[in-house]
Amino acid sequence: MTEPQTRRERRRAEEAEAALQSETAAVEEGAAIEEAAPIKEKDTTASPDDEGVDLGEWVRALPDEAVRWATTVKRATYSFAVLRIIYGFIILLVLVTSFADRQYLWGIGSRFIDPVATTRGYPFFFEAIFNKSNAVVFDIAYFLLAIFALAFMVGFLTRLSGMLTLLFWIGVSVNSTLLTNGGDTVLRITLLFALFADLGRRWSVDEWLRSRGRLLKRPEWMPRTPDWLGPLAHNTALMLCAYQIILIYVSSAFLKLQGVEWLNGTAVYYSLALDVFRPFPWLNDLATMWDFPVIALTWMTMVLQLLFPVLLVWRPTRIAALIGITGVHLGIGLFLGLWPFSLAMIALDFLFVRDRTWVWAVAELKKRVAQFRERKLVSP
Amino acid sequence: MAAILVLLYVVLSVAYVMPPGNVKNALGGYAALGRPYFSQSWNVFAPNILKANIELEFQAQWYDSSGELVSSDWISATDLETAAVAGWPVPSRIVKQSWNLIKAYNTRFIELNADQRDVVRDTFIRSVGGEFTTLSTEAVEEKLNDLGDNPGDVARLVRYDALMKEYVTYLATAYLGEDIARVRWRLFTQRPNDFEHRLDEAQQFEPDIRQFGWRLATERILPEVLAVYEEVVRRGGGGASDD
Repeated sequence: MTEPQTRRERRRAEEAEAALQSETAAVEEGAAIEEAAPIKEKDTTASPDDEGVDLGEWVRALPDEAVRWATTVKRATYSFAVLRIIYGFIILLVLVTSFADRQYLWGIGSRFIDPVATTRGYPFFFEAIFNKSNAVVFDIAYFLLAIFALAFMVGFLTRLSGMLTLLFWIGVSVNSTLLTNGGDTVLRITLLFALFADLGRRWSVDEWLRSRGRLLKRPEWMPRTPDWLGPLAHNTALMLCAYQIILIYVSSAFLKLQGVEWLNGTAVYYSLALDVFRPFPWLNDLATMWDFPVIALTWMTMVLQLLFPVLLVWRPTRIAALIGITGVHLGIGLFLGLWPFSLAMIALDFLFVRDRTWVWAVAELKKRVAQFRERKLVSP
Repeated sequence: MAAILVLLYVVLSVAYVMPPGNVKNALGGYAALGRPYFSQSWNVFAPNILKANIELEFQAQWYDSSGELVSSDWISATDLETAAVAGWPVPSRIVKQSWNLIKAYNTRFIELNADQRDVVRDTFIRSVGGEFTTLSTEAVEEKLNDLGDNPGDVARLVRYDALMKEYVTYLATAYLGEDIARVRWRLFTQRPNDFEHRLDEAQQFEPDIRQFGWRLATERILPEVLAVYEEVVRRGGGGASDD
C-alpha cells in the first residue's frame, strides 16, 4: 500500500483506521453483551434428558432462570431501536401521504362519521385532540403529531416523545372508523408495550447526548428504582411484543387454512387483483401471469405464518423464517401498497434478532465500507 | 407481577381472535375490559378472501331554474378518491374512505331480512300535501322493526343510512355545484376473472349493482366543510364541468 500523499488521502486513511478501530470496539461490545449473558445460555448441555440431570431440579430451576433472564440484562436493545425508527417512520409516512386529504379524512370533512366513531368507547380526550370543529386547531394537532413522531423516530427525549406520539396517533385514528387497517392496530397495541422498553438506548439522539453527559440526569432527591426494574419492564415489553406478532401469524394462518382460495393456492392472485390494492397494476398483473409463483407464494405465506413460532426455536430456521417473512411483507408493501402494515410487522419480526447479531452486522458493514475506501485509496 | 400481566394479555388477546364458540362466550366479559384499545381481528384476507372490486356510486337531483327536478348521472365516489393518488407507491388513506363506507353500509344492510331490505332499497321521501318530506329516523326504525325482530341490526343500519346521506350530499354538492335536493347511492361490484381465466381478455362476470332509494339531501351544508369536499373533487379530476 502506498503512503498517502495528499491531505485528502491522509484524511481518508485516518477514517479507514478509525472505522477499523470502531469495528474492533463493536466486536468487543458484542463480546461484552455475550459476557453479560447468563452462563446458563452458554451451557446448553444441561437438559432433562441428560444422564444424571434431575428432571425435577431442572423444572424447579426454570422459574429462577426466567427471573434471571428478565431482570439482569435488557434484551434486544438494537431491535427495539429499529422498531422505534420504523414506527416513527410509519406514522410520518401516513401523515405525509395523507396530508392533502387530512381534513377530508379526519378533520372537519369527516364529521359525518361521528355517529359511529364516537360509539367505540374511547375516552373523550382522544376525540378532543383532533378537533373537528376548527380546521386550524386540527392542523395544529396534525403538525404536533408529525413533530412528536419525528422526535420519537430519531430518539430524542424518547419516552416522552413516544408517549405523545402514541397519544396523538390514537387521537387521529379515533376520528374515523373507515381508515384504520391492521398496521394501525398492531402499531397501537405494540407501541404501548414498547413504551416500557428502553427505546432510546441505541441509535438515538438520547444515546448521543448521554455519551456526552448532556442528557438530564435523575435529580438526587428522586428515589432510585431497583436495578432489576428497568430490565424487567424492558423485557416484559419484549415478551408482549413477541407474543403479539406470534399471535397475529398463528391466528391468521389458522384462518387461512379454512379458506378455499388459500388451500388451492390462488389467494395471492385475488389479493393482487383488487383495484384498491394495486398501486402498480402492471406489476401485479406481471406477478400473476404464471401459476407456480402464485401457488408457491400462497402456500409459503401460510406455512411461514403457521410454523413461525416453531421456526424461531432453532437458529438456522429462525434466520430462514425471518428472511422469508420479511420478504412476504416487503411484497405486501410493494404489490398491495400496504406499507404501514408491512413495516410494522417487519419491525416486530426484527425483535427476534439478537443484539450480538446487530453488533456483528454493523461491524461487518463498517469493515466493508473501510475496505472499500481503502481499495479506492490504493487503486490508481 | 410481570408474568401475571403477560398472562392476562395472552388470555385477553386470545379472547379476541378465537372463533365464536363457548370459550369465546365465556371470556366475553373479560374481553370487554380491553376494548376498544386491545380489540383485534386478523381475518383480513382470510378465510374468505375478497374477490370483487367495490365502488360507491351516487346520484343526485336538484331543481333547475324552471323548477324542474334534474338528475345527474351516476358518479363514482371511489374513482374520485383513488384518481387523486393513482400510481402512488404509498397511497393516501383516501383510497379507503368510500370503499370502507359502502362496505360497512352493505354489511349492515345484509343483516336485515328480505322485507326490511326492500324498505331500505325504496325511497324514504314522501309527498305530503304537495310538499316532499322524508320519513324521520324514528319512523324508519319503527317501520323496519315492524318487519322483523332485530332491533340492533335496524338501529345500526338506520344510523349508517343517515351518515351516508350526509356524506353523499356533501360530495354531490361539491361535484355538481348545485343545491342538491335528493341523493341516492349504490354499491357497484365488479368481480375480476377467476384465477383460471385471469389472462382472458373477456370479463367473466357481469357487474353487480345494489341500489338504494332516494333520500332528501342533508339540509345544512357548512361552507368550510363543503370546501374540503370541493378540493377532493378537484384533485380527483371531477367537477360540475364533467356533467
